Amino acid sequence: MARSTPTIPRDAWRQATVAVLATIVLGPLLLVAYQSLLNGPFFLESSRLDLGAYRYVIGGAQFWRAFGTSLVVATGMAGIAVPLGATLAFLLVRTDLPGSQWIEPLALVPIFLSPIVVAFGYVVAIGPVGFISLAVKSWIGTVPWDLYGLPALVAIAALTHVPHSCLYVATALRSINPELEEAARTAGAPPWRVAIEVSLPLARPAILYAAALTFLLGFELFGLPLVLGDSAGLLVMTTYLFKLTTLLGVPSYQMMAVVAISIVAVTFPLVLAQRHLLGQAARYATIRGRGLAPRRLRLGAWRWGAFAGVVAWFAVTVALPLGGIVLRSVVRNWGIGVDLGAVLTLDHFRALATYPNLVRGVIDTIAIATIGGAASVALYLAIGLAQHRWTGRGAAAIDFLVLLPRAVPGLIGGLAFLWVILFVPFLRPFRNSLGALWLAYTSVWLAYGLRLISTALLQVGAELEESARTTGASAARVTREITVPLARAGIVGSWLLVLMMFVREYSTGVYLMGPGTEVIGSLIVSLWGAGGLDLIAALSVVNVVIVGVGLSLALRLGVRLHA
Amino acid sequence: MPDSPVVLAATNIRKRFGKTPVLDDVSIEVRAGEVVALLGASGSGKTTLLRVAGGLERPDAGRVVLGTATVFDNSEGIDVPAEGRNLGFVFQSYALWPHMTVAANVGYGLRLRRIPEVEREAHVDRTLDRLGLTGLGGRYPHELSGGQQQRVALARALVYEPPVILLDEPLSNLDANLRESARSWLRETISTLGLSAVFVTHDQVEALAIADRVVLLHGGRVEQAGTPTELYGAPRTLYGATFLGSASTIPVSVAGDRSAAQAQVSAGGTAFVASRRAEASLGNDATVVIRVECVRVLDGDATPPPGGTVLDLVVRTSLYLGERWEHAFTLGGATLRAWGGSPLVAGRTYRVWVPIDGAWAF
Repeated sequence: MARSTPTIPRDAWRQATVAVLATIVLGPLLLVAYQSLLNGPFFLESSRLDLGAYRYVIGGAQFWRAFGTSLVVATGMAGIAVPLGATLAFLLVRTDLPGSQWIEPLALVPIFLSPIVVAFGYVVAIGPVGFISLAVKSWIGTVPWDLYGLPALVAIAALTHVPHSCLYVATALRSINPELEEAARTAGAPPWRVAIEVSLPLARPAILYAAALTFLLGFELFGLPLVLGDSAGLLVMTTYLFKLTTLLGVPSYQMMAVVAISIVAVTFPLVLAQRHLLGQAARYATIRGRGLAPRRLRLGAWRWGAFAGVVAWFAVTVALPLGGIVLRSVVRNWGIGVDLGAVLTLDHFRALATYPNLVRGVIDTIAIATIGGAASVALYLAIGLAQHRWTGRGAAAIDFLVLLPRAVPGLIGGLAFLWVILFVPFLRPFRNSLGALWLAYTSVWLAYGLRLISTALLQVGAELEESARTTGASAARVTREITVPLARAGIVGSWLLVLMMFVREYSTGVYLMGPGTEVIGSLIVSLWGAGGLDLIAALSVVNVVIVGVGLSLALRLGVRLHA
Repeated sequence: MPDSPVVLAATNIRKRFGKTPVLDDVSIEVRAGEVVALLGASGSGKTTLLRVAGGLERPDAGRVVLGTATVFDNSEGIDVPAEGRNLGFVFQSYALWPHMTVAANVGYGLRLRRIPEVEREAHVDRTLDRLGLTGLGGRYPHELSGGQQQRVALARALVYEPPVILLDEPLSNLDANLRESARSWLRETISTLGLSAVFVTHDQVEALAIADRVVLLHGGRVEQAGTPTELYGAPRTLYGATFLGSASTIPVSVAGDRSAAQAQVSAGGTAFVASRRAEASLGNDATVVIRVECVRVLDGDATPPPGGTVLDLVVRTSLYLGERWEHAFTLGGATLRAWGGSPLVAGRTYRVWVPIDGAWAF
């Protein structure tokens, strides 16, 4: 019984997916690029093609100062975070560090915390009038550090990005065939030489990748410099973009577009470089021997020193800002000599409930994260399935298209989507709906979500799918009845991770915020401008609690916390 | 060789992974210039034993002595790490470092031993020459064929002249046709260089062909140790008899003793004589193992050779194996296999000769 499979329709839906993806990814960016070449807002008839905006922005000293600061921050961040992350990874994977199995998931916590929340946490903990600063001041008479300055910004940005490097290096170290290290041991190399001469060079592609990634993230940094750099007058590229309207006094579409394009012009090559490095890493993959776990390196006397180091990093990076926020959310005011018992209050949380926009913000955040997150994962799944075991030209197009959003910081993504909505007549009614925000979120997290989905889909062995095909199932039925059911756990895990990223998100909603599209992160950004510390603290705690629920659910379900 | 000094001795090794004992009181000894094979099915503990000797696995109890130096003894708290044992180890995956050239891979052990560069390079070149790798020093491992990679792995393990070389399934990563030539090459190389070696394998042909002595492991214990001919020709246990070679296993009832060395047995009413292999006396039920190559199908009225039993058996099938045919006869409820030069007619009865010293009762 020969059954002819119509091949054209099967590819047709794949091609359609590529078209949808191209529209979502390229449309907004092309609009921004077009706007950057005009001498007025794109929606005015009078605007003409003109390079004036480029001349003006690039000729300005402030642009170059912001660019230079971004460069310093990104370089410093990579320079500190990568060695620390690699060391942490080595300690966790290859040594007898005490408690390494529970340190590992905890070490990833900073990835899921909203940077704006963390930044605010540092302000209330070690800012000029922070809890710890005041305690130190009453003890030694002065605060021996300055939170609002370049060094503190670099240090905090670096410490909060240690997990990213740790993750990639740990994965690389785990994938090294243990026999490669044992071979060096039996040849006579002591453990430290094995680490330096075998393990480290083998993990080098992953380390370089982590460096490129950290540098990229450094360039896209927004929440930390907004909060920590502002009062010192320190501007990076993203905060320069954000402040542009204020700086010029008038909303200037073409200037914003030029800055946005300048940022992408730096980040896109970085994304391409990362991709190249990832290819390099694959070259080092070797035949695996038996899956014997290698003997862990005994740290001896260093064991508890290393442990103390890891705990100190965690305390400064997570406990300090989170503790600061929680404490700030339950005190009426704070200053030297204030008795904690006398100022304890739940008023801030009660006040939260009296502002309709804040209540909406909390509800919207939960809605966009859970329902919106599920819808995004469904879309990512559709794209992932279109790409799954597809070797056509379209698959390469998808590959390229998903790279672009990685180079677009959330702030610019949100701005671009706002313009698209203003530009396309039939989208205008959605200006103040969560739908617009959801679309922007989905686009900004596209690369992340797709990586999660394709990892989940690739867990399903090709032979399981092929055997269904040879039994007589059509491609669509194989997808429906074999691939998706088998990848279910991975898909649910992807949803939880996307959910947490959507809760954490703050920059994408900044420009899209209006009545009906408030989310916690963007509300904090605007409240920060207005100085509403009590409400920020309460909102931050709510945000952290939601992330915490998602995170503990993910850990309970055994979700791998990275793609 | 029996008089050569012992270069490696592992005694009373015990090792558990969780609750499962992997090595249960195992002892082996390697003398200078000797090649010992650790043979066994997967899970027999052979690789663990090799890794214990190499210092890659820490046993729960026992003692490992290299030459005159004790490198492991749990009662004395001695545990010399792998890098302090000065052994050569060839890994199953070869474990060639992908970021180093062939010369750097081979020379690494010399660099660790602080051999000056000039001397080191000369020594590496000499070793590469001896192993047929001349001119490949500048290549990277991924630029070599599987067979070349295997030679590099061996070169790297012997370049600093360790007293013993340990090899973990050295031929299992090679293609079947390459494996046969690699087998004789390995044996030749080991004897020409006068090396002492221990190698792990699950392939009996590999063990019998390369080793001077074979240690058969089963369930974490030494089933039998001896020369290849002893192991193949005179297995002491039922497991050893069935693991090595190709044999039929026939459940029988013991009808009576013919002598201290022989027993009259019966398989479903068909009586024949078998030689006794078990040291303890046989019970009422026993198992007879008959090597396929010992059984002969007699032509017509041909007189059987002395020292065997002639049985009239029905043939069920004849399989064509290329250079010969394999016949399956029904014997009691079991199958007796025999080899022959031509096919037999299924369902017909033939005269089958079973030698007494080729039928082992356990």
